This record gives sequence, structure tokens and C-alpha cells, in this order.
Amino acid sequence: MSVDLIFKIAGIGILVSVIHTVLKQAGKEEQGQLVALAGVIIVLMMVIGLINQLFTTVRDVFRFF
Amino acid sequence: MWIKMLGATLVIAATSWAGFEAAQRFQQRPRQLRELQSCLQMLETEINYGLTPLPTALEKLAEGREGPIGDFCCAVKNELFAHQGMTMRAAWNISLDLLGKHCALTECDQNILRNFGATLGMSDRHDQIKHLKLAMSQLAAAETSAWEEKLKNERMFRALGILGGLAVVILFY
Repeated sequence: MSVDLIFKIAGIGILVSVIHTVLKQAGKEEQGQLVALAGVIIVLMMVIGLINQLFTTVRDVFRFF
Repeated sequence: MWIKMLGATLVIAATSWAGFEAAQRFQQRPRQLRELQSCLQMLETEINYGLTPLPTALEKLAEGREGPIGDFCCAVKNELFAHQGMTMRAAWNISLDLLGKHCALTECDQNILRNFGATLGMSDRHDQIKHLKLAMSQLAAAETSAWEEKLKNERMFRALGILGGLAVVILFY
């Protein structure tokens, strides 16, 4: 478990927000929202494995079957 | 490690280049439209006051004009001289197709020119001047919209190029 992922997600967040602002200034709000959505999905893809791990750990600790 | 850095730099350079290239198109279009208008203005003088024959007038237009527009005037003249019996309209259209490959003008701008070329050299002075005026006003309208588009899109494409590269690098690093 490394801290790299957090930085990566932070970087994506900053970039997506900047791209969103740029597109909004250019009057292309729909594309801006699309980019924001894409960012959310990409980050979710990156995190989903870890969330899975978390739930398995919780299940193992409390012995839910 | 260093290879990775090199790759990242290359990716950012490539996408930035693409962005600047896309922005370049929006930057060039108003300038070329302006140049076309001054070209037509000169042609009007040649037709109205100079009563110059068209090939000579085109030669004068091409003089001292660089870039795609100058090449266009030159190409029309050359087409006219190269083939005996070539109509002005055909020469104009052939050169226009050539221009379309090298310039930032849209299909709409080219159609204005195409319609104008169809009437050039076909009728008397007053009629031609009328068509010329029409083409000039259409070009002026196109230039205004080109300026608006430039203001909107130029910076956006530059920023998007660089930021897109950064996003790719962060994603795959």
C-alpha cells in the first residue's frame, strides 16, 4: 500500500478541475461536465480494487459469511 | 526511471504540439480572411478604375503577397496562362481546391469565394463590382465570426493540449 496512489488521484483531481474551468470559459460546459465525469470514473476504477480489499478485510475481521 | 521521464516529456510535448497546431488554425483564419478582403479591394480598383484585363490584374494581386492567399492569386494566373481556352471559372475553382488544402479557411469561406469566382470575368464592370461587393461583405461577416471563434477556441486548444498530456502522463506513470 503506497502513498503514490493518493498523489496520483490528487493530480487527476487538479487537472480535471483546471480542464473543467478552461472548457467552461470557452463556453463548452457540456464537455466540461463530461470531463469531470470521466475523471470521477477513472479515479473510481483506480480505487475500486482497494475498496474491495477493505470490504474483504472488514468481513474477515468480523467473520461475516 | 530516466526512460520513463523521457517518455513523459515526449508525450507532453506531442500533445502540446497538437494543441498549438489546432489553435494555429483559429489564429490564421481571421488573418487570411482579412488578406482576402484586401485582395478583393485591390481587384475592385483594378476592375473599376484601371480596367485591367483579369490575368494582369491577378498578377498585380499576387505581387508582394506571401502565404496561401498570394499563392492562390498566383495559381489562378498560372492556370489561366497554362491552358489555352481555360475559363476563368475553371481556373478559379482549380486554384481554390488547391488553396483549400493549405489554408485555415472553412468550407463556408471557400464557398463565398467559389460563388464570387463564378461571376468573375463573365459580365460587365458594374455587375462584377456588385458581385465583388457582395463577396466582400460576406467575407467581412465571416471575419467577425472568425474573430469570435478565435477568442473562444485559441486559448482553449492550447490549454487542452498541455493539460491532456499531463493527464495521460499522470494516468500511466
